[in-house]
Amino acid sequence: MIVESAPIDAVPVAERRGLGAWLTTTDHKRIGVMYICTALCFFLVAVTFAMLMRTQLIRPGMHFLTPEEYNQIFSMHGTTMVFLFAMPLIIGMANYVVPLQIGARDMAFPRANALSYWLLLFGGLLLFSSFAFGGAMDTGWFSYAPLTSKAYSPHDGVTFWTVSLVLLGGSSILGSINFIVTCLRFRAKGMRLWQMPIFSVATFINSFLILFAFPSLTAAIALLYLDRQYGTSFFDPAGGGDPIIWQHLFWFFGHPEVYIMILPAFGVISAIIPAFARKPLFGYASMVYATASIAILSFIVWGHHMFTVGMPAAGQLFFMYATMLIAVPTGVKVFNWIATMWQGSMTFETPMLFSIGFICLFTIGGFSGLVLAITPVDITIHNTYYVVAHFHYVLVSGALFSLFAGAYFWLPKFTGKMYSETLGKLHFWLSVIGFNIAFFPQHFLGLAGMPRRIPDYALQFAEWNMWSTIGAFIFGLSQLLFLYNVIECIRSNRKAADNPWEGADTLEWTHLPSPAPYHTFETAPVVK
Amino acid sequence: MAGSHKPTPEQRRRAVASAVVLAVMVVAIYVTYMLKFAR
Repeated sequence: MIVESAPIDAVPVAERRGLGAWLTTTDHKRIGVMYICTALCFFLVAVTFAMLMRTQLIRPGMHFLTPEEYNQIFSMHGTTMVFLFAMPLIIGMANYVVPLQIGARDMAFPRANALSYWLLLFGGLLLFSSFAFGGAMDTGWFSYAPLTSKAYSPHDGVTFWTVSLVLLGGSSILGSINFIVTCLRFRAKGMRLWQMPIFSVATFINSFLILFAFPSLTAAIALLYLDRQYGTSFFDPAGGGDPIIWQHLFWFFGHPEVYIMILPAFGVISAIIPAFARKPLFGYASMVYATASIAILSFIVWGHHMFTVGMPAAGQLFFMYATMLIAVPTGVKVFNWIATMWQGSMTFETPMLFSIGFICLFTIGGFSGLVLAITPVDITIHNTYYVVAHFHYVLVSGALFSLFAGAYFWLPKFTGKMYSETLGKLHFWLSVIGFNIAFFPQHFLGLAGMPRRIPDYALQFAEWNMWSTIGAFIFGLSQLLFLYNVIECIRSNRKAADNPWEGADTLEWTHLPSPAPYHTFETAPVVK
Repeated sequence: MAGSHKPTPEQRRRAVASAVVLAVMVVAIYVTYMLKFAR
């Protein structure tokens, strides 16, 4: 791709400084940074919740948390990780990077972009404020009916959850419209839609996923709110309702939601591996098709979360095979990443280490997903720790490792400084070791029949639980290294080059200084 | 080669039109769900 634009040292438009400038900003880079910082704050809280849970589970018979507290903690851990960490971090990164990669001056609607961020922040704070008003939600992140009814969850935690999720959903929908319009209408002249860098393509496709998935959740939540606040019976069989409708509506959103967290992560990995293998991405077109295929397939597999509810054999077979089908485009991606690395001049800086860690762990999670897709097996190990192990292998590698990879990769562009490679590599190895000690034993616990979401367990599960807790603490505490590394990077004098990565060739590296100036491109770049 | 980078009126018009189409689509999906389940 040949690009003409202003020279790299173009004089930037003056940038306002101070707290007020940040609070009133509509600049996509600042909003991106605010998203990332907010997501990291919520991440620390969610990690703390995880460590509280694992402390409770370190041995049988612990009384560290009451059952009621345990229910609130694991529910808020899941909700926070999904809605207040993974999604905002992805959106923050995309906010900063996508306009740079496609040669846009800003997002299409900068004020709407700022509104998206503030909706997220207030939605998150509202959710957490429920702790001060009688208790947080205690029904798990997917909040099945009838647990969410007043009879089983009488305090207002679920109501806070419904209102805050409407705000968070509004934020995501607004952000998605903004990303789609930015990619459609504000690309650099000469850059075709499918010529965009792969991370921008993934964000573009992902935005459609959000638009199609979130209305289902919003509808479910609206009905739940009416049930709780106005005495309707949409999910109450006693009043003619059906609790199973909640599961259909929730999982029609919930399964695409998994890919909403993972597709941009695929984009991050697809951007990093070519940079550190010093080779172009193998099979760009097949990557785009695979991303789109996964997005479409994610809408026809929701039933695999509901095998135990009971459904006709034809339904079971359909959802089983459809779920297995997702392995095909995912396999294409893994193949392409390996093919990109094949015979490349690879170096193993921290972003590359996290990318390779992602591929290995995500593949393990993918395989356990295939096991769970088999209906009779799923019915046997449904709601056991096998499921917990599976989705942590998918989501921690998918959302966390890949986003760490992205954070280290773009940190020099965000800050203009270089992070410490030594600390980065230490962070990676402690994370990989801690993660595997924490979650691999949970496969054995699940296969042995240990149910999830219980604050106590039978004696035969004690040993693996102890290892899981030790691993969780190593994994959790090692994240402090990441925070330290970022803060140390910002305060250090190690100025980053405009393009510190030899193999990175997208616009943000080749045509912009580090950090990117206030009005990114003073003159519009033209792709030839 | 490169000109002013401010969005042109035509770009703005097309952006708003695209956003309206997407917003209508989201609302339509939502209304469909509500009509299906909230009757």
